[in-house]
This record gives sequence, structure tokens and C-alpha cells, in this order.
Amino acid sequence: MDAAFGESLIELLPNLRRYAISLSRRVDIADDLVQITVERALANHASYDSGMRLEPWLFRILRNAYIDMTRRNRTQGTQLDVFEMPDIVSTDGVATVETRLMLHSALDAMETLPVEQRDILHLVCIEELSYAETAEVLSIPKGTVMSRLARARMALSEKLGIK
Amino acid sequence: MQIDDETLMAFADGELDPATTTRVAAAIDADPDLQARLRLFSESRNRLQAEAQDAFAQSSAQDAQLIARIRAASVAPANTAAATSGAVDISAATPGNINRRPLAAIAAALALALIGGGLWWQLGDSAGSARLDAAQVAALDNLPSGEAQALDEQTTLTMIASYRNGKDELCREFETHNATGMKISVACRDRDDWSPRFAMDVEAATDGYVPAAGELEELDAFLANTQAGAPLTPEEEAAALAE
Repeated sequence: MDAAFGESLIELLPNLRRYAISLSRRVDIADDLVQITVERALANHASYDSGMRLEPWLFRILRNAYIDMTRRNRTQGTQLDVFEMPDIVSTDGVATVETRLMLHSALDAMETLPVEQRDILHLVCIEELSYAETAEVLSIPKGTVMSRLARARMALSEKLGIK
Repeated sequence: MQIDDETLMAFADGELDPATTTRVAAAIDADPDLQARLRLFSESRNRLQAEAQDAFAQSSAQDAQLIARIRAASVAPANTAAATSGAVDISAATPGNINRRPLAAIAAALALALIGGGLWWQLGDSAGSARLDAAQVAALDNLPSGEAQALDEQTTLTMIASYRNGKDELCREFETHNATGMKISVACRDRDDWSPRFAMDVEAATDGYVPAAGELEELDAFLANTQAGAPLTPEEEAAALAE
């Protein structure tokens, strides 16, 4: 393994950590996720295409590790992507009440969003991945990235009272 | 011109091709409603970004270990035939070049030797380069954990962690890397001098795999035996070094 790969990986540790926190919302789990990601990146560095940016490749490893972990924990039942089914969103009273409580911090507001929306907001708005890179990390088509991201941004703006 | 939310968002994110960007920009210029909707997308992004700078800045206690782990994997030599490992103490004075595979057995034997031998592990001369040179002492005095410093053209010293042992001495674990492998060492401050207490050579295998410190049972045995405390935080470390 060449040293440049290692140094790039070290530089991205903070990014990996904040993505891990954003996904898991727990510092201890985030540490585990970063560690797993580093191990997998070192073990599989040969499969990294050096023509690509390293960020999406690493985020994808981390995200898969997170999915593995939640599967293993089996704390969740079958997951449906409600954001691909807009008609079931916001039909309860909770959403209406929440929007009245104006949130001042964008990060706090993001925290109140479902994980799929947090995930995509984090990758695009905080880690500054392109739509194509984000599609790669999430294993979804670019069109889905755009529609999901647009909904997440609208939801966030609404909570922040951006008009 | 009809512009949907996704196009507007893509404009805000700089994801449109130049021709479309020009068209959308012209449409936005002419339409206050579009300007307002554009803000939904640009503001949400700007605010997240601004807050994320501060909110996620904190590092983790495990960073130093991960950095050492990555650096160790980076110094894979091209032609080392087999990974070897040897740990040294006065009671056993075992030479290196022991195949890594029976590592667990060695560690178990060493741990027993330690318990039987009276709790004190001091490096003998057989450790060879175990004595600290001036550059290492300077690093021990000054280098924060998690940072690396070149000792000479071939060798880099990476400070792993500081802790206090059972006798309340300040101890620091560090690694020295060169082209063929690394050495894990622990030195403790005895009055004003640093004395080496543990040293272990780890040669990288052909695939560049060097075990993380947590996997090194000799080191774990040593740390457990000297009642090593939890790693100091950066602030505690700085204060301890200044004493």
C-alpha cells in the first residue's frame, strides 16, 4: 500500500467520523464505524480506483458497515422508504406541530428528519459530494438522489423558517 | 420558463451544465418567486455547512491509534518473506525472529513469566537499540500523541498515547517506523529522565499488515502488568509534560 493512500485516509478521518455520527447519532458507535471503515479500506485498497475521489469510496464502506451493524442489531423491522412514497408523509399531526416549533440550528433541524434525509443532506451539503458521487454511495439512481434531496432541503427550510 | 424544484436545487448546487445554468440564471433574474425558492435550497446548504464546521470538529480518542495503524500499513516492505515478532525482557532475553503465528503462546508464556518474575519489566541490553537517543527523548518531552516526527532520513516516530502507570509515573507509548518494520516502545519518566520499559519489533508481512496495538498481546500484557491507566486527554498530556 502506498503512503499517499494512507495519508489521504488519515486526512479524511474527521469526515468519516462526522458521517458516522450523523448516521448513528452515537459517538461510541461512530468510533466503531470509523475503525471498521479503516480496516476495510486498508484491506481493500487494491480495489480503489485512484482516478476517483477517495471520499465516496470511503463513505460507501462506512455506510455499508452501518447497515451491517443495524441488520445485526435487528432493532428494526422491515424498512420501507417512505420518502419514495410521498403520499404517506406528513399525514399525521406530528409534522404539523413540529414545524410550528421553529428550530434555530440547521443541524438540530436536520436531526429531526428521518435518517434517509439526514444521510443525503450530510453527504451533499456537509461533505460536498456531487449528486453522482452521492448516488454511488447510496446505491440509488441520480434522479432519486435529486428528488430525495430536494424534499429533504424543503423540509429543512421549513423547520428553519427559511422563506 | 418553467423551472422545477430539482432544477433550481441543482442550480444552487452547481450541478447544471453551463448552457442550462445560463438559462436558469436568466429566468431567476427575471422572477422574484424563483429567487425566493432558490433561497430555500441555497440557505439550507449554507447553514448546514457553516454549523458543521464547528459541531463536528472534535476528534476522537481513538484517532491516534487509527493513524498509527494506517501509517504502519503504509510501510509495507516489498520483499519481507515472513512476519516476525519478538519481545524482550530480562528474564527471557528471547531473540527476535520468532514466527508470528505462535504469538498467542509467546504472549501467554511472557505473561506468566511476568507474573512469576515479580511484576517488573525492564529492558535488557539484548534489546539493542532500545536505549533512547536524543531525538527520541526530545519527542518524548514535546511531541503530542497522535503526531509523528522524523528521527532521521529513514525513521519516523509516531507518538501513540500517554498514560500513568501504577506507580503514577508518566509513560508514553510510541512507535518507530522504518522501511522494514516498526518497533513499539513504552518509556516512562523517572524523575527527569525517560527510561525505556518495553520494546517490541514488529516486521511487516508482504501484504503490509501490521497488527494494531490492541492486537499485540505482549504489549497488552505489559500494560496490564504495570497497571497502565487510561490514556490521558490532550490537555492532561500537555499538563503532565509541562510538569
